[in-house]
Amino acid sequence: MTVLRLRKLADRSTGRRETRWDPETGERYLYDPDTPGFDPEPWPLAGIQFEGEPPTEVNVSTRWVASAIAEGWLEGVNPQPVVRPAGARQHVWNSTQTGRPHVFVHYDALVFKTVDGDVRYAVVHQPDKYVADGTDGDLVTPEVYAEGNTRVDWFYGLRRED
Amino acid sequence: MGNFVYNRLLGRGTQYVEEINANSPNANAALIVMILATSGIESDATLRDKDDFAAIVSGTTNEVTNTGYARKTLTDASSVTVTYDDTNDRVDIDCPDQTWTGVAAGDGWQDLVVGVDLDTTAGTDSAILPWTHHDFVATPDGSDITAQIPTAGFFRASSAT
Repeated sequence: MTVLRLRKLADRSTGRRETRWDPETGERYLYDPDTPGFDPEPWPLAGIQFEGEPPTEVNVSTRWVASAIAEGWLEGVNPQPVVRPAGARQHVWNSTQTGRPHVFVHYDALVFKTVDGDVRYAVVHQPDKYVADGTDGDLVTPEVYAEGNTRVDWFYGLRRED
Repeated sequence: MGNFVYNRLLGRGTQYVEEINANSPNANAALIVMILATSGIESDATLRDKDDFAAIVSGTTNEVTNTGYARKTLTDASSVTVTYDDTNDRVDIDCPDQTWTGVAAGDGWQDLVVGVDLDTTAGTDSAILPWTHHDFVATPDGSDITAQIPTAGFFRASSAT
């Protein structure tokens, strides 16, 4: 398995950008000198591209997927939210750390909208709460909870379909 | 025209992730996530000079020992992503949120450290290089504890010019 490596391509066909540094964090950012103010304004996104051949199998994090879908270059097929306990026992839905249970969104597939065309991946492993050393189909029972034998996977396992 | 660094080569950390991805030069390289305890924690100014995991806990700083805690190991199969962002002239490295389930009371949690272990089979903390350090305050009480990684990832590299 490989790490997913992507490039966000910039559309530099019009406009210009200059560099500033955030006075509080020191972080460098781009702004448009032709618009009022100094708010961050990156170059427009021309599209995304895989670095090298799209991997056959790859894992990607839930937050990264949510961000990519929000940016419009990743499509989640058939989203299905699920809720799992985050408390000390299976019947305790809320975590005393966060005040809420674990919430995951399952998908049947994820489609990357690249400049070279769509690349479709089947989701073969969903983010969820699992038996620590079990398979995806093993139920997290009260006994498993009592043993502390659980794990939470915040990632999707993907297998390329085309 | 001015001086610049090509986005592809921004940051040594990015290079380490590329090596983990390529399983080269060592197939056993990985990122290691460690939690530091509240008790005895030294200042950021002191900790940032430490050169390896063993050095981090060589003073009064301690790693947590709660039941339910164990270090996380992130390999090439652990959903690490590298985004070369030409629209912002930077590189973002992301990994999934990390959850420790059913963490028992005991040590308070203060900081999260991501390190690079270039050979996990060597098994020595002195060989794990600390990479990023994050505030992560929690009081374990038996619930799950999740470290939420920012959408932009846990590491960002950009050019100084």
